[in-house]
Amino acid sequence: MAKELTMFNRGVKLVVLHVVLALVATSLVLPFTWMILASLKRLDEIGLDSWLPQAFQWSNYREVFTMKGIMFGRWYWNSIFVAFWVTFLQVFTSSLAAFSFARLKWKGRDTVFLMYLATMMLPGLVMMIPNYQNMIYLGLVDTYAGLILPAAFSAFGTFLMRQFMMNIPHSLDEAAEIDGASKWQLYWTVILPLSRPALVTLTIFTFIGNYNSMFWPLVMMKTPERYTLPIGMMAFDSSQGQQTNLLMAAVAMSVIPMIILFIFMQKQLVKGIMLGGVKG
Amino acid sequence: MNKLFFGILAVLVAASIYTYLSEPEQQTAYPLIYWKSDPNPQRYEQIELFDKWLAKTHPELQTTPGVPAFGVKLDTASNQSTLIQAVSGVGGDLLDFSVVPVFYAMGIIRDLTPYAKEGHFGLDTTYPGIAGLLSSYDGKQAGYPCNVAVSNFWINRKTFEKYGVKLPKEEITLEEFEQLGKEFVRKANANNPDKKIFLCPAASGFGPMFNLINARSQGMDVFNETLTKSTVNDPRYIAPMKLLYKWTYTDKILPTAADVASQNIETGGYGGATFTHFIQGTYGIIVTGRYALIRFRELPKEQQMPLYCVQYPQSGKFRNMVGTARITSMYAATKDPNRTKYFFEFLASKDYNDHIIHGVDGLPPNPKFAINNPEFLKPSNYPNEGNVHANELKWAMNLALPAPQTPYYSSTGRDWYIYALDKYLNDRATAEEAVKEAEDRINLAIRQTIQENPKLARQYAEDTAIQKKIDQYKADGRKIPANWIRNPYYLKYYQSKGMLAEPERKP
Amino acid sequence: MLTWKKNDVKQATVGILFLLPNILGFLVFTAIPLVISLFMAFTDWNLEMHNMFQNATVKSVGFGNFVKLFTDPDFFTYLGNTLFLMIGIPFGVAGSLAAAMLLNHDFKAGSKKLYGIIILTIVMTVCCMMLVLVGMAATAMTLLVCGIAGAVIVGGSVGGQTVYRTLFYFPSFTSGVATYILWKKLYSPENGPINNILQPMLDWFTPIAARLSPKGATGIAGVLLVLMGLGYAVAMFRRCRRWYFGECGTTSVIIGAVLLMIPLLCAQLWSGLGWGGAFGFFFAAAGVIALAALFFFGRDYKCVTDYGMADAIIIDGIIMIGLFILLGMTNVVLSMPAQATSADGFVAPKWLADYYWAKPSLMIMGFWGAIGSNNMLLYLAGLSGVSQELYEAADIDGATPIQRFWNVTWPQLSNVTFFILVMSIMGGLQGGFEMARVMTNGGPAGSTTTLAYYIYTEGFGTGRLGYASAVAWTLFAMVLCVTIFNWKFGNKYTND
Repeated sequence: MAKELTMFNRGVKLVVLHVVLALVATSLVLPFTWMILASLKRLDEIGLDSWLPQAFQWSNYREVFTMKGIMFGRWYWNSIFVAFWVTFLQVFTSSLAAFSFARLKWKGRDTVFLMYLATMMLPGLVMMIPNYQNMIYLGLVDTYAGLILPAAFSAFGTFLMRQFMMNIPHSLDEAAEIDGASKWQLYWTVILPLSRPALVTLTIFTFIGNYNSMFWPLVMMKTPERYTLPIGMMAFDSSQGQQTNLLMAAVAMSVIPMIILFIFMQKQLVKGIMLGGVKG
Repeated sequence: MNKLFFGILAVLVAASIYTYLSEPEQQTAYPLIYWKSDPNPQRYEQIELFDKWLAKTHPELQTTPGVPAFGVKLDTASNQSTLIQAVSGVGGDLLDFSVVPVFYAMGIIRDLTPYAKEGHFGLDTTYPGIAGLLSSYDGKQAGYPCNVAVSNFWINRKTFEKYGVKLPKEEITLEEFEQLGKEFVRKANANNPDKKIFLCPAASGFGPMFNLINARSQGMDVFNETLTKSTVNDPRYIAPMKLLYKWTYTDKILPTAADVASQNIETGGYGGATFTHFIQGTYGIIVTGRYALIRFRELPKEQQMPLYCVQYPQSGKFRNMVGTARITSMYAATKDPNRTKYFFEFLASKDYNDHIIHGVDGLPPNPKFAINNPEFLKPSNYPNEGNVHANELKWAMNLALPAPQTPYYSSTGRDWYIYALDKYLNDRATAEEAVKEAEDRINLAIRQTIQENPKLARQYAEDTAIQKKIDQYKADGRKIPANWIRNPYYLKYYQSKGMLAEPERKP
Repeated sequence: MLTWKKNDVKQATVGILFLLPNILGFLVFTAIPLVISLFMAFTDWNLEMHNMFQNATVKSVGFGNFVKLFTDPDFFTYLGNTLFLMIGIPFGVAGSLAAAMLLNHDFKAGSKKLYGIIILTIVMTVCCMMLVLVGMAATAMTLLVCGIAGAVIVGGSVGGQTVYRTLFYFPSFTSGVATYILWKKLYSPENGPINNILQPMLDWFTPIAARLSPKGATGIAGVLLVLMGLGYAVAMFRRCRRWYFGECGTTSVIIGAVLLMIPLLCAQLWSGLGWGGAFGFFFAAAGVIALAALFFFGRDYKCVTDYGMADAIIIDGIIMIGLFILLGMTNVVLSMPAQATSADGFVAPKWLADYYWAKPSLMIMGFWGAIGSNNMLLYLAGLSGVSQELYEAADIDGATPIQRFWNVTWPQLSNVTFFILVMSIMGGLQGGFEMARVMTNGGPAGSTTTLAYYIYTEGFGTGRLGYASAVAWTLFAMVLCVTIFNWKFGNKYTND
């Protein structure tokens, strides 16, 4: 009898928990619900109390691509293109540096590492103005290279990779050394393949971070054909933003890649955040 | 690892090649010049028109028959970095501003005088009232307008008839406006106490220009004659502000901010909620310009309302209006001055002006094509538009003066006039305090500019010396030499009062 | 010490070779700009004069820019805005802690069979509810919201923690220009969904509030003020007790007490409060006397003067914000009868378009994103590290859930909390740029201009590079202070 009662209690507790969680989750998701529904309305339905469109206007999504001055498809491409390049380069340089910090022994290594880590603390704001001047000097304003190169190096990425590489058993190095492998071969054929989880995590981080980045493209790009999505969306908002339904369709489409990435990669991502946050 | 790495690399390189090939420069076989402007859909039509115009009027430029000599491309970057890009040498070939003298002084735009004569787009081909907006402080032409506007008060005659309110006369005074407002609001809200109908949109929108025009009609401007000092802290500027407050909170002619917020209406299309109110009849009047017709002409035929327009209400002797313009200038570091110059010729040409006349994107920059043009004055398809075309053109020619600006204070920062009115209307300061803060802030900014810029400092010293002399002359009741005055408002004002003397050597 | 052998050099060369790309990138994109920026901060570099078309020489102005900055009223307004927006941080952290604690349950605890029954019950209930709603011919909106909630709970009961975590994490994950534009539309005063829902509710509430007499309002305000006093007294007592038992140094106790007194003294400044102001003054005075008495009698357990500083600042800081909220509520209640009986009744705020509401609007949006952010994941990791034995021990002692939280969970998570707070404060100081740029352009009337946005407008809007750099370096100095604070007191706090 007593046991059944505790079972019953547990059951009630779990149900209550579910209800609370579901309520919180629902209220967090409501803005997105409104977004999707608004994107399917006609323009004159936007201000109405009901969130539901009278008829689903799927054509809104097509119309976004054909609006004058809104090169949505091109911006989409640019965003993904730039984000891919940045991710590729950053993951590569970070893993190189992390290998040096985690698997090689050399004098002054830890000092250099600490100093490099400290640069994470420097606010980007301090450097943005001279960096822009720098870009003008290098002739990279309004080019994709100007967006990609500064983002190709990251102290955070290095840190994340190093944390992971430290935990790979050192016996592997010795085995490779006995086989007469060079340091490069050790990095390329042993450590890098073993670091796959960290590589995946860093890939997601970098991709999302770059896909969302707004400040640097904002000051760098001036030709509309070279905009990335965030600044393209801002241009949309400021020029034809009163077309709420189309704007919401564009917003919805711009978060889709992130959502897809998140749903598939969330395990890696959660691990990565914990890895990066444990020590700071 | 090898496969993965080189696989990704190959994909990325292929993507890069595709991206490079699809760049606008690669897509067109002829050179492009860049026009930094707003992303208004009409701009795209204007660019297409330019291509046709160029082929028609300057066929000699084409090297290969059938291929345009060059094209214009819109650069609509909405970021604030226009100035930074321009000073860093990466601006567009054509830059749009609302005032150019400041930018000319910075050296980022070119003197167009050498091209103006052969291209027929000199200062004399546009409105006299806005010449100050497109020439440098020493009188060199530095731009040409794409469109011009004189904002004025538009009446929806349907609404007025519905409530049995008589139309006012075109030169309306403050007293008449107040009477009109009280009558309108009383009659319109007689049967629907909860649904609020107002004469005009909220004061925060048109207020700054209203204050300026009223101050000017009484003989003062927000800068002194030599533009060396802000003189906005003056009862003649404060009085109209107080009137706006009274109209909003006591007479309830104008909606309060809370009223605006609580009016739940859907906003669609160009112009937003204010236009919708006007169309629905919840506002009897809106403050706008000819460009509003872009929206109104989109309405179904039976909804198009009969219009009537009046000047800004003002009680002073010197009736005036404010002219504004979108001005296109040539970037100092343009690689193609010889191509870019044709664009200004285009802006002054019949083709472009006809496009503005029919597309109603403001007033055409070259009034020659509007004066005595029945298509402009009385468009046959739109008989409902009444006197708006003729009046706006008339006022642009006769009454318009540019908004105030000074070389000693770059107006790229915050607009202190709007700030002051906002503060006062929201009860965060009294009118006197708010205006005093505005004056202090502007004068502080002037002092800072002078401190930072030795070249300007010399000129400033000269101008302040002249100002002293002017003040002395004024006190003595003497006429003031025309060449001493840099403020276009005072030039016109003194002329109308007969207080202008022949040019004299500067002190 | 640094005697380099030949082998050392060789190893270091290899090590550096691997670092080469990063070093190059660091030099070009970090080190050089940093030096230039520092140099700029001491010059009058202004793009209006010093550009490729005008070759005026850039002059050094020494500390001129910094002097100007500290005499610039705007700078302090914007610093104030930045700090005001940071008030949202503790709420966000508390929200993510709560979310993490809710998620940190073993949903299948008990038995698989029980879990199955629960899923089945929930599915059945949701189906029945939907059917009933459809039968009642509920509006489409009600059906929609209930449908989503039903889908979430069914999904959650089947998928467990992962589903909820995903949904919680959505807002922060997608945060960026897209969500800012979305919120801008949500906040639209004229036809945004928030005001569409809020205004009818306010209209419904107006007559009720109108029935509240001014006397009644004063009564409620009085209760709120007493609550405020109580909160203050409890916090003060806690602080003094900690000092007495040597868990808190003298400097720390003074800083904590000052923080607690600020809201009480601010109550004085509020005009409508009347006798409430005197009340606040009385409490503050009592606190001072209590402290003085405490110092006079001394204590048995001595400790260093800055011991427990982090605890003083964090806990008392949070309480200070709470007291401020009570104070604000008092004011709202006092002004309610007048508002309700006015012609318009209660009018929904204009959110981003209103000078006073713009910052709270941004904070609400921030809170929405902060609940399920990385912080929640960090807390989840922290919670999984708390040993179950501690809880069992607490259960044996018969601890209530609240006691369990304060005595077991909170101390065990203190290092995570500290880390999160420090990172959030550093981020908050530099933050606000994107929101301001996308949603408000720093307005209305500069009320959402943070320091970051100010640097942007000065540097990229008006071209005053020298001044903008000076502001940036001042900001950096503040961030550095937080970091130093972290180094100095972080460990002590975590060891408490």
